[in-house]
Amino acid sequence: MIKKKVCMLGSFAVGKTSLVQRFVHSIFSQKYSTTVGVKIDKKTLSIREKTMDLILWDLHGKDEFQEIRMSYLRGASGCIYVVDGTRLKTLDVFRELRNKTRDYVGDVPFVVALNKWDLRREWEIGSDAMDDLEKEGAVIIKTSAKTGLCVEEVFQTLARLMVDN
Amino acid sequence: MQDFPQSIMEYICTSLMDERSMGFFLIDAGGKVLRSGGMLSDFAISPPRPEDDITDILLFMKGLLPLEQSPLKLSQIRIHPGVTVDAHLFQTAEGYGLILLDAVHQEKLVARFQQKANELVLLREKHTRILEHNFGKGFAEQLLELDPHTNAVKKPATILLVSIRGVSELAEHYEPLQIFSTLREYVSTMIQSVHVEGGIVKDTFGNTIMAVFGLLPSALPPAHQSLNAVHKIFKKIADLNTNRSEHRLNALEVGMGVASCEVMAGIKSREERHSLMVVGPCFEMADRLEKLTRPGQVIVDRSTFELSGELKKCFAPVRVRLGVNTDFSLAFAWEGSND
Repeated sequence: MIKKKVCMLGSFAVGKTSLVQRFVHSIFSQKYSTTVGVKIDKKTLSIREKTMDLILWDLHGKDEFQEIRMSYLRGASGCIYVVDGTRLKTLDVFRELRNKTRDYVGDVPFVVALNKWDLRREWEIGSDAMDDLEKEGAVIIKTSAKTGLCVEEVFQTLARLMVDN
Repeated sequence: MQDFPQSIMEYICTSLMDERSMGFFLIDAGGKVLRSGGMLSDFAISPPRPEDDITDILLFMKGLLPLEQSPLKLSQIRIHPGVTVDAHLFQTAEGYGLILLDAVHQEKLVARFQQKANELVLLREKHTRILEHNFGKGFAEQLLELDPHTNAVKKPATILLVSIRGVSELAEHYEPLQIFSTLREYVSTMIQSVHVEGGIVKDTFGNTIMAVFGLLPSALPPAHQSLNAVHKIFKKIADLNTNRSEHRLNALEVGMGVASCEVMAGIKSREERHSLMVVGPCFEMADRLEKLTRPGQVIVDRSTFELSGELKKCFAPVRVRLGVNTDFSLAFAWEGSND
């Protein structure tokens, strides 16, 4: 059995926990509930005829009062960066965290989940910003933890990238 | 090791274990469990068999070994629903030692503050978006004329506190979703009136909003702006209540407190993120006055009354006691329901 540690990273209130809850337990709650420290979860996937356990580290979001504790990232095989499409600032947080993560764990595979597609009318992140992200080498996937849109795809894509790495 | 006598060390250990459940694992260099103990059942961990892999028992151990730096401390790891631990991992002669300490209490404590702080930041971001949407990017900060690199400036301001009354009674007859929907209807009416008159909603707490006038430039003094907002709130709530009565829905009233003073306003800045900070004695005064109002009434302090221009005629003097052991003070009341 392959086990891979995956870290969920991003600003606060972007939907990291909601994506994990949707993916692992198929549930969604509209109520915002902040994550303190880190929540650990597991999901078993089948990738290219191999069974893989994803050990998900759902980290607290970066906010005004606390930085991400880099020690949580030790041993990570991949990262999912979550950006809230309705808050442009969360894209800057992604870039900052991406640089810090690269310094700490190296160039591990990653996927960017542009979350809250169900609120697309309120999106502040436009196609230009998305093109820039792709030029930077990011795999970006629009998601909605609320409707379940492409949630499975985010984790499957990262799992494939980790197998190929 | 410091020169602590055995009795002192024993006391420290007993005291620590009384406060927080503790469990331990001794692991070999390959990650196999050699020994375990303590209160593992408190962490919903079954006693492991010898040679079990630590990553099968504790998922979070995946990727942590071998240790490059010892000790490694990881705080507030939620390993199961309702089970949160602080983990201390360190090198021993046989391999590694792992101590788990119960951290549920600490997690709850931090969560309470962090939740409130994050909700306030989200609310502030929403206000900034509304201002930027209407007036262009960066407009909110330009209007405030505050330099993020200086500390704060003194400005005359008026604080308006609006509270919806009768919510508890409503809760006895309606489902939570209906109550939420009703509150949203009233609160949005209140917020809209504040924005129209050039105020900033600084905080909302359930059925109450707190607004500040005087930070955005206006031809009117802040006290006058706030009373225009009061007038609008009374009128819009009366319209809302008429409409609700036609649909046989409960009508609610509001009570309002208004106070004026000089406040210190500044922008707390960290990297690209700015937050508005306002402090002054009239926040407390507005809160106390609001608590003294009847439904459909506003009470203002003397400073606000003096600055209220032609709206003075709406008020009648009242004597209020602002604290348990304080003398009566003069304030001014406006019966909005009589308009």
